[in-house]
Amino acid sequence: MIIDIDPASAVPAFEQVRAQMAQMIRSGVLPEGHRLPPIRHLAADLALAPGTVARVYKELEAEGLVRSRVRHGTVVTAPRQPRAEARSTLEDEARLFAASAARLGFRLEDALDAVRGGWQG
Amino acid sequence: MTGPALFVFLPLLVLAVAAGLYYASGPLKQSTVESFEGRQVVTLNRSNAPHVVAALTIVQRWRRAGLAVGPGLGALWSLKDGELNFNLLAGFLGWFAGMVIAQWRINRLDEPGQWRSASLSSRSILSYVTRANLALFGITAAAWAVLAVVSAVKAGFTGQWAGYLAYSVLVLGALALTGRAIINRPSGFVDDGVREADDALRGHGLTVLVGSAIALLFPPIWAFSMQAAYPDGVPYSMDPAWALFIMFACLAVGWHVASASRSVREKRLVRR
Repeated sequence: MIIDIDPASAVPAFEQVRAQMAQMIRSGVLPEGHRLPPIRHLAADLALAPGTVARVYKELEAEGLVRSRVRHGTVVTAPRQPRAEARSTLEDEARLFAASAARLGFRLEDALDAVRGGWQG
Repeated sequence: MTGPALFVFLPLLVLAVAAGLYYASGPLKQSTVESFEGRQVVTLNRSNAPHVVAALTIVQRWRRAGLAVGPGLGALWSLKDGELNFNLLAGFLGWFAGMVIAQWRINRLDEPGQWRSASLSSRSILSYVTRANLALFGITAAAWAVLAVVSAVKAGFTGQWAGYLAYSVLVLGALALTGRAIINRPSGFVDDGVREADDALRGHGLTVLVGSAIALLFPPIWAFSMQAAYPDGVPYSMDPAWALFIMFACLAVGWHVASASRSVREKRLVRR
């Protein structure tokens, strides 16, 4: 249950964190009832402003994926995405990656090596 | 102590403390690292060893420095009554102060790098200290609280009672603030091995703190129980056997928690 951000990416840190957490919740990696770390802990770990992490939690709550209560912290509420839907998401992501690799002039073997490297990392 | 004796004693004391501080600045012992690896079930490798060695070195140096300075300060304090006393408690307090300072120093260690990672598991005291050890601390703290109340009721709010209460508040306050700082310390290490090792360092530090606090509560527990048992003064020239038992029990339990008890990481791995 590790998330990471790339400061060099064009995607804002807030969106990187929100997208990763939303995906983990929808795929069931973060199960329903799981208590997320306090805002100040996550902010310190990711070297982000607490306000940025607070905004992430607020957006996830607006999407119905988490619930925040004073003194009880923030808890995952969304039920796990059905397996078929998760599979469809995986295939969509794979199509996007394959198109990207082809555009950059790589062969299938190179693309698979990159996936293996990312999986082990 | 007379003037001439003081001129002999003070330079000797300064020399002894200086020798102690010189010893404190020595290198980290291999056995310390191996003991840490074994108890915390963590393997040092090229990526996490610098972080762990740096942290353990800080702890070793500050603990030894505290152990060197504590008895010296205790001896100086005893001179105010016109006599020289070397107090083991002063040494232990110095060691504890050194450990507390070391943990705050470790909070400033960090891994440089462009990427940042975070675990989405919440960190709490239970992530690092076993329930059994926390229960032992809870029992000791409860005994302290009950005896403080009983002794105040039976013997009144004496100067000695207030002094031991202030001492307790200092020890428990240092434990609470330092424990909180350890838990809140950022853990955004990209490398899994470094993150695991850093977790092990937190568990190690917090467990030793809890064990030390148990041991350091023995003076007020002893004093409150004596006041409660003998509100008009102790009729014996020596402490009764049960008072000595309190001291040994606190020290033994504290030592067990700090040095010999199973770590959370070990229990977690056994359960898997």
